[in-house]
Amino acid sequence: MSTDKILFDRVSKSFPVRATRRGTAGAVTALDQVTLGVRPGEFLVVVGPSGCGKSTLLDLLGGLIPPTGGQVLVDGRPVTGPGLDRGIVFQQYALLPWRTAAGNVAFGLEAKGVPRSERAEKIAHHLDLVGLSGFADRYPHELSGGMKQRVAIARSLAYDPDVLLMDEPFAALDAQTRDSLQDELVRIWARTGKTIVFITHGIDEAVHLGQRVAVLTSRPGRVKQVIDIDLGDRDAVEDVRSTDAFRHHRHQIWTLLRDEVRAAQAAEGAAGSRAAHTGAAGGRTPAVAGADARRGTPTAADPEEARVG
Amino acid sequence: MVDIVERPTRLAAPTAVPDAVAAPEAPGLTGRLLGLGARVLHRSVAIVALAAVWEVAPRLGLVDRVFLPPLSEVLVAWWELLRSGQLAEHVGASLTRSLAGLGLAVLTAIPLGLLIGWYRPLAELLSPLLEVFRNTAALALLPVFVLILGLGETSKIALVLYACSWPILLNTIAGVKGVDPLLIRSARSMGLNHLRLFQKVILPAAVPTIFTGVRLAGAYSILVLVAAEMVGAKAGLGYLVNYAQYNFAIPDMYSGIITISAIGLVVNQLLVALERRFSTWRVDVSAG
Repeated sequence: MSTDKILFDRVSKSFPVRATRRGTAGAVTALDQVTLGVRPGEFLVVVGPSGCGKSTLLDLLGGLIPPTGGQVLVDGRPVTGPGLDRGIVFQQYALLPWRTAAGNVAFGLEAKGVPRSERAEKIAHHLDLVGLSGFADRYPHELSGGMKQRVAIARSLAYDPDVLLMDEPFAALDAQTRDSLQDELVRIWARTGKTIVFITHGIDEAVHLGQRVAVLTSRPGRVKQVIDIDLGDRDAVEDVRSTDAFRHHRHQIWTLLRDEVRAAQAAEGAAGSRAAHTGAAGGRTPAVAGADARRGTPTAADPEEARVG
Repeated sequence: MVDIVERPTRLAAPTAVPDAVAAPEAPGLTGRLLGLGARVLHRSVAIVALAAVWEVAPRLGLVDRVFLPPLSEVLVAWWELLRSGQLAEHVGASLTRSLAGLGLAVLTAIPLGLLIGWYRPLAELLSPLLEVFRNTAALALLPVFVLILGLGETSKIALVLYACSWPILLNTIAGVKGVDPLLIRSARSMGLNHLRLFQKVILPAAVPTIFTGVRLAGAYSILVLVAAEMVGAKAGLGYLVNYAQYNFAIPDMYSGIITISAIGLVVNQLLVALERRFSTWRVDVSAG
């Protein structure tokens, strides 16, 4: 345990829910007693059904919100706020539209207090690392989605955090761009040796990127299982996604997620009627009840699921 | 009052854009000149028609030429005013007042707006007051300003300051509040403190919205001032128009009116250009 770079130690987080016409104010538990360790230099992927608190996990780690219970440790020290030892890459890039690509990379360096004389070299190096050397003077609106996300990654890497937190960073990109950025991220990770925590809802993406994949349950989020991904030598095969190992892991995660996705859907259906009246416990009870009810009865899977299984 | 001011400024903004955008598209030099000529013609037709009607209608006796002299007579009177130096005196007096008021409004309303936009408690405290004042026509308060500050320059500049403060203040508040929360989250994740967050994210993000406020205020400054000068002044364009009417110097009155619209147009164009200069990234985003 002491060797963990990051440790979620029985972390819980609940959000207050404001009163509506149909129900009283209460609280929704997003994360419940999550315990999860990340080793130094590891690429850990967190997957879970939508609304399971994946992003909350990342906000807690980033120090943007405090946990309701338990603590998040980085290098054995509890997280008390945001810090430059952790860099966050957001799904919607979060680039400053009035700054060029180089200016955006400079932003993180300014935040860190890197002397002006050293900035130019770091900016050039990191733009080069993400393959955007020729685009230093372009404004975000002149760049494609994939390029924007590259700039955002360069910005986070430039101030040299130990940990890179990525919140569904490729979810808004088209399939080809996503594939190439995934490959590049693995390459950058191998070159920089950063510890990466990557949030996604894509099973393929999780298997492709992660050394380990943590599967979360639907609300309230708990760690259902952590799976070690072993794809052999990635460089040995041309298309890693078509290997048996890849398919095996993919099915493994899909099976784990299937029940959770159903539970989440059941909870959404129930949320309208039951959750609204039960108040404080409402956010949680139907989810669990729904999950238990459905687990024993395998219903017909939708086309996407049928194809995957 | 608000409507009268806002209409011309809103019209002026989009008309300026096609010029800049369309120009590079035209092919050869001849084609470009023809295109330019056609556009100039197209855009000046309405103005030329107005001038023609103004010139012809009084001559044909369609309107009383005592009350609406032909445009050419008005222009002769305008030229006389310009040569005698009277026009320069009035324009100088008016511009000094409106620029002083506008400048003071920029200096006070922008910092105040930034504070109100940033500190929620202050916003909650002041917003009822702001609602009351911004819905009170500035000119309705003119007598109050005259009573308290007298008939001199102070009351006029104060009235301009008052009228100009609202668009600047409200736009600044809106600009600060409208900053993309994701940018704030991202900057916070890098450990920026409040001051630097404000300096590096909030302020640059709000600049275009603030400038829209300044542009509106520019139009307000002239409108309100002219009205104020009609009430009690010894110089200024409002005074010129009013005084000329009292003395039945009708061409002089129209000269004053023409000058006022010309200044309004020029001020607005300057502020539009300045606004565009400060918000290239936003204009491009909305276009693309």
